[in-house]
Amino acid sequence: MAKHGAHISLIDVEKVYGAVTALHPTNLDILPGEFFSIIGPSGSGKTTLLGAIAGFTPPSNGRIEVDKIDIAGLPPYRRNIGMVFQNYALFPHLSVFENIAFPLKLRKLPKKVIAERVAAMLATVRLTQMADRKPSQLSGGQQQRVALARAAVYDPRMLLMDEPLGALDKNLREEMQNEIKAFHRKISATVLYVTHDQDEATAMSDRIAIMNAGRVAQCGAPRELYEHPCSAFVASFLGGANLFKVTAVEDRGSGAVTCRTADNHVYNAVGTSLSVTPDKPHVLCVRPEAVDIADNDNVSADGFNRAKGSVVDAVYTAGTFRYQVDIGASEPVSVRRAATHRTVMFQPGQEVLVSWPASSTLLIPET
Amino acid sequence: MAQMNPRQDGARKSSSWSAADFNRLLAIPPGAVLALFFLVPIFGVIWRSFSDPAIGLLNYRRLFTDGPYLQSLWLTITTALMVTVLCLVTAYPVAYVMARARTSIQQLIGALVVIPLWTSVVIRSYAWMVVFQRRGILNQALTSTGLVDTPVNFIPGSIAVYVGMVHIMLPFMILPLVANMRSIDGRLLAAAGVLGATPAQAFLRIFLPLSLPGVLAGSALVFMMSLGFYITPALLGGPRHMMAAVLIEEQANRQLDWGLASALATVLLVLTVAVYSVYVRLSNRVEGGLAHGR
Repeated sequence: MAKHGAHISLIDVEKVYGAVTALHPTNLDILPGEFFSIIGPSGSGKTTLLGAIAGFTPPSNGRIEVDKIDIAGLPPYRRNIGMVFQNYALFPHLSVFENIAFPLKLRKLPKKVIAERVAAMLATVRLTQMADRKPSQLSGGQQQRVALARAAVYDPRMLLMDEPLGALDKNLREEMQNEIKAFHRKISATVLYVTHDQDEATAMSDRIAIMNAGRVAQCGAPRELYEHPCSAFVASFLGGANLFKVTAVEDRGSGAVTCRTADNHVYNAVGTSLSVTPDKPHVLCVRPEAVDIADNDNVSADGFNRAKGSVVDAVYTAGTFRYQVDIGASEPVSVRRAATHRTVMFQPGQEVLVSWPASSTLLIPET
Repeated sequence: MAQMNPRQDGARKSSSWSAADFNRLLAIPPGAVLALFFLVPIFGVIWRSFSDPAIGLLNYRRLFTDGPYLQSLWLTITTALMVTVLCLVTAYPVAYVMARARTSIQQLIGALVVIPLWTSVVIRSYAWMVVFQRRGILNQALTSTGLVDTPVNFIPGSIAVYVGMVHIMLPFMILPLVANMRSIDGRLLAAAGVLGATPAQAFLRIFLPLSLPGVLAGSALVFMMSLGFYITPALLGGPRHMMAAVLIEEQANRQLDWGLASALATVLLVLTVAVYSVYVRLSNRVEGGLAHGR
């Protein structure tokens, strides 16, 4: 098993196709042994970034340093990177054993060593019984595990995963998430995980980089990204968010502001007017679970923003009430409440009061 | 199932019966044509080989004991093999480039491969006669560069037969190869690269084995067609490269020995069927190992 994971540094990595810039100059520092995810909508540059690291699409500019050594000019076969592909890319004419042994044979290891290491890897992914099968005779989850084993059997210090769970159904995905996490702990390689599924990324990663339009929009720990998104894009990409367009800001000092929204509501929020410039539109961001919902005549405490409205949609999902409340804004407010202690569910049409703490109302740029 | 729900099962059966019935009706005309103009003559030929001039194995005894007939059969097999190998070696790189090229390039190469098929084999064989004849362009080039002093007699001869046959058979090798190679997932080669394979290793260990079904299909097609090939060997090979089909024509039309001609034809037929069954078995084995995601 790898002694330690690689330290990966991307320095001004850029990819230009003719007139199109697929990846603007990007800097990322991925720490040894870290489980690092790159998420973003399709076309956001995450595949380009992965291709640059794997060596399929050499960057137009910049350095890709692995433990301080620039690998940007090396062909894929000289990089010693492990990679799990979206559709596994298992070799259909080789057995499970031969698939996993493939990278070891290329490294000209003695037959005995190859047999031992493949056997150990098969045991790790619990496929010892399947060694002689062809990939086509395995289930999706089993193929996934063969791909993992093949990518890690030669102890690469960096493991790239390109939407590895994309082809699996939901239940299997969650099972495989745990499996991959456990696998990561065992091999202690640095994992770079690309996905478009934000739940998957938040559940698995130490840190996440969210990409948009060829740039890293924000990079940080999952909770940090969720609680302190730096833009409306990040806020809405990672989990649900109520966003109110801001038209005027009054700075009350020490990080407190009062904002007027496009729908003529006035809310207290966290932020500073210094960052707000006329040419850069801002929004207020409130997470659905920060919003409380109560009967119309209920009065909530100080430090809360309030709005009267009526329920337009009410849904119960496993332990949670989800409401859409029309408060006269352009979009209804999403509310998510735990359903454990509340026996009564508000019904569509009901007049309610929604409120949320000013401390959970973030003033952030729209882009 | 049928017992649990007899009514529905019966309904399904009756509807699929009428569809199958219609399909069977559709198959009658081509089936009748095949039977009348293909199976009947073939059985006629086979029967004749055992009955003309007298019932018995006389024709086969002559065929397998008289030198020239056996020699010609052997020459036919080796020529077909040689043509197959030459076609494969020539076609593989073309197919590889074609399968991995952009669509526009692919269509261009495809047109270049297919257009010769629209020209008659006779005309293409005559074209090679022009190239290979005593005072043709090849001999002119050879003598003017001083490689040979006197013109070479390519026609009739084996070299001319090989060249002509390879030229005519090439599309039948290229097209199955391209069809197969296009189905090979390019990501497998990318994966091999990341796992440490140089482009050459990725080709040898991944692409080549995965292209085997195409190699088999193309080789079987070219070999079987070459076994019975007539026009090109007749025009370019003559008596110096007498292949079975030419010999059959000579026996039937000049010697009027229809019995021996029928026996030769029967042997060719058996050979072809044998090659075909080997092909089916081999390709089943290869495909069995390749069945993925279908």
